[in-house]
Amino acid sequence: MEVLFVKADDAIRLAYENEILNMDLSDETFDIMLSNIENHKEVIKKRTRTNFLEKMNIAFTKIPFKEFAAVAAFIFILVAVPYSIKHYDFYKKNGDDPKPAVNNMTKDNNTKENNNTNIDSNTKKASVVNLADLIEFKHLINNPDRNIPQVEDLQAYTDLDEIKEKSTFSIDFPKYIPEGYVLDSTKLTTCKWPFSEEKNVENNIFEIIYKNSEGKTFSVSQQNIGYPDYIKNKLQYRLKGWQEISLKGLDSWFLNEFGIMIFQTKDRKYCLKSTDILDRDTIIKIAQSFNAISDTSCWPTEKHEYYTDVNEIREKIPFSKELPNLNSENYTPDTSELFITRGSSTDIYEVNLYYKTEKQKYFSIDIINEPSKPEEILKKCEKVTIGNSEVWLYPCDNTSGRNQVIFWKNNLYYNLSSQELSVDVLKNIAESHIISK
Amino acid sequence: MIDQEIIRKAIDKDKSSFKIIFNAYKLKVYRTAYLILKDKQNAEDAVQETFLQVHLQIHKLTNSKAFDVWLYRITVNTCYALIRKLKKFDIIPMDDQIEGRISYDEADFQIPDDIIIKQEFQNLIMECIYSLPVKCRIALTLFYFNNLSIKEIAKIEMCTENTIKSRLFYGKKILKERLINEHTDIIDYNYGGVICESR
Repeated sequence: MEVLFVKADDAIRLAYENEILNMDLSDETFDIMLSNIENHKEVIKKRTRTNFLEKMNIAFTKIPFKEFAAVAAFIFILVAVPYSIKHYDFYKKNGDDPKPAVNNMTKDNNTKENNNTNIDSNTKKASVVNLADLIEFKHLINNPDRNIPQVEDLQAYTDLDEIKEKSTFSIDFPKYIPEGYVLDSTKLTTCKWPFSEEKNVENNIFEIIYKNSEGKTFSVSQQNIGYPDYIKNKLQYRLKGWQEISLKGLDSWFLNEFGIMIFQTKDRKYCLKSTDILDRDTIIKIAQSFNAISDTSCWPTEKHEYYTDVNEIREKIPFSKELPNLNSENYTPDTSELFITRGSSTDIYEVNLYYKTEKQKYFSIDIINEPSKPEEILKKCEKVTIGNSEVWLYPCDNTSGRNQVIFWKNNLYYNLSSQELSVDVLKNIAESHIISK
Repeated sequence: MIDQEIIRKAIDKDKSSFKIIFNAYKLKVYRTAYLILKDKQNAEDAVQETFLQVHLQIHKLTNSKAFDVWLYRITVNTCYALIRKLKKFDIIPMDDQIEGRISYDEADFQIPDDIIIKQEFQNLIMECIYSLPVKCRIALTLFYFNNLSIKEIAKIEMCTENTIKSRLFYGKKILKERLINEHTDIIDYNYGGVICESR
């Protein structure tokens, strides 16, 4: 007997839908809100003008104007007269040549070099950094493939021996084929492109085509299409008529409308079976006959671990000596967390340390054992040098969330971020507590 | 999903387009804020503050297609600010109930269909969700209520996709534990479901 279950996902969704019933606000309330919002902008403008006028008023009323004017005139004489004399001499010698500006710039640069803070002239576009780039950057940091997206090198191979040689994953043939069908052709397409939104990798698509005596064909293809959660989410909300199916304990998905079945195998590889002529049961039967499904050694191996206790975090990570010690009068540790992703390649350790300042402002330090630098992203940001370390600054506007300071030390990636502290403050924290340590 | 042209016009400071955006998203933002804050008055404040920021900052939005994520980021940041203001701020305490080491496979739990439809059970789930740490609650709300992808939530929360996956996973894990430990009388916990058909 087949038992129908609803999964936790659906239970949570139903609970949310139930929760929001009868809790909405009236249209009138929203209209008032809209009016407040639109007027608020005007109020802010007016407030700015009013504030200016008020300040001017205070300046002219509360400060004795005569005394103020006398002091201002004195300062002007002190500054302007020597300046005029100096430049009078200069222009007398050089005519209209604008060298003073160049000299000033050189002087400024020298000063910065003396402070060990040299702004790279090629990377002064920090203010236009797209937030999506930041996220993509953080994603790339965690992406073991570390490739920058490229759409190139499209190649196709049809010879099976060549396919086996060129494919980045071991190709798999289903053991079950519906009666009357025989192998017609095979094709491997390789290209470098950001096929998956999760991974920007060299993507291979291996396709096997079967044909019967009436000329009808169906195909079975295998490719890397990302994480299970991502696929599931895409299917759930972008496509209708999908079904979640458990294939020997592995999450799989079937799309009625397209006759497509997606299932999960090792190292985030998926097989995608496609046809418009086979029924659901036959498709499932073909899917079940893949080695990747029947052989448990081909099943996904990625595991996630999570810790919040600081002592436990120190025990678990291989770089505990590198953790910053900010327990001082100025900064108090708040909470901390460690995410470990154990995959088939290197284990990724992501430590998130949260601190608050004495003024109750929060900031965090993320440390990941990821030495590679995605230059494509970094070159868009402002780069400064602190000591011997290169540091990248990501200032954000009010809505984007956080200011960030990023650098690498001893093959570890550091990201200091805060909604409340400025980039300069974060930079100082990085300099005094981590880089100079 | 609102027409991109409307968003582009709003970016160009067109007042009527802002109104259209407000009307299209007001309920979504209000409901999201309510589900994070669990307080109608605070949710109202969050809506007003969110759309004020949208009004003031929309000209800085360079990609109109990213509007949804941008709007939810403002909503979430506004909620964080309100929570902090209300002295409820709690950066991932994640409670003591989380086990140190849990495999990803254990995240799902299955509950018989006839139980799910019961109002009582749904209220129980919401109670548990409201008791979760705020970051887990936000991840669950954006994922299950707003139907955002993990990548989109990661953009909103300015963190890695793995972090969001972990928050969702632990949110569900805590939910499962609390539901099962505290209400075993109404939940027939079953791990070995055969066919799961969600729609």
